[in-house]
Amino acid sequence: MANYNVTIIDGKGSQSMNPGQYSVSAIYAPGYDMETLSPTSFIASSSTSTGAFTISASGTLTITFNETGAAGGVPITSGSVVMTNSTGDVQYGSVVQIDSNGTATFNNVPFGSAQSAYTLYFKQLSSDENHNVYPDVFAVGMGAETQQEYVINTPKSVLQNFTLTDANYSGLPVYNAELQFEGSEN
Amino acid sequence: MCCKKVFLNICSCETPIQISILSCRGCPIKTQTICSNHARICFCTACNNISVVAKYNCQTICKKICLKNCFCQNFCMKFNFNKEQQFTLCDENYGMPVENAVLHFDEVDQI
Repeated sequence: MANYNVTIIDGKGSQSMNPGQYSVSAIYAPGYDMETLSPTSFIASSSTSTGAFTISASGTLTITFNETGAAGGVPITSGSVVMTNSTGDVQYGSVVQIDSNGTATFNNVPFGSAQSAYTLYFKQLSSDENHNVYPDVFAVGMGAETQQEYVINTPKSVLQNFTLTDANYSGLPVYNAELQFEGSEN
Repeated sequence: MCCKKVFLNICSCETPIQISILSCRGCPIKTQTICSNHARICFCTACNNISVVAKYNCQTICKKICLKNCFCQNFCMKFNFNKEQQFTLCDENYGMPVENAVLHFDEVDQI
């Protein structure tokens, strides 16, 4: 009876095999629970065919979107985010909604260790009406089974209107002036 | 001389292949179309050596059969037409390709 080890790189692998029925197991799959491989059997015919397998992981990633990109900032109140490839061209899984606390949770994500994190990519699709969407695809290195990340959403600039009139002659607009505003963001 | 009789017992199956029985020196080549990867080859010959050549999808497999006895004998041969099998491994929940993995295949039954 024949047996084979097939290396999978970026989701693909191939092997010349004797026609027959095989039991299949994952013997190496960093970031994933190898017991979740499905299906666990494969029939190799005398012609080329493709066997499609899936595997699952158990990590949990929580991403909070706020005005500082760190713990403690003012969170956004709605929006959406999705897992993508490194360029953001391909979306994986469903779009996840950002809740009123600025938080989106991704369950069943692969994870590694602090020394060898599993890198995932995400793209924010929308934010609330008062904040700007984070413009770039961002990477998260899953170095533990449960992880918290923060992403900055800067407040949107809101147009403010001003008047400048003569203090002694009511209603007389100042013909030409420039005001300087200095302050700090809320 | 040898090569009194060479014939094939055609197995029932779907995929035809062409098989040639090359008997010992001086004997004519006998070609038959058979099916499947399993060809039951029957022959009655006094030859000590018979070569079997099977062609299937441009692959040629040669097998030399050595006979100890000079009488009709049944041989069941299996031709292993190994074909490249392709595999995909994706995340069950998100559908993304798994970066790096090794799958182990154990043959439990031959076709």
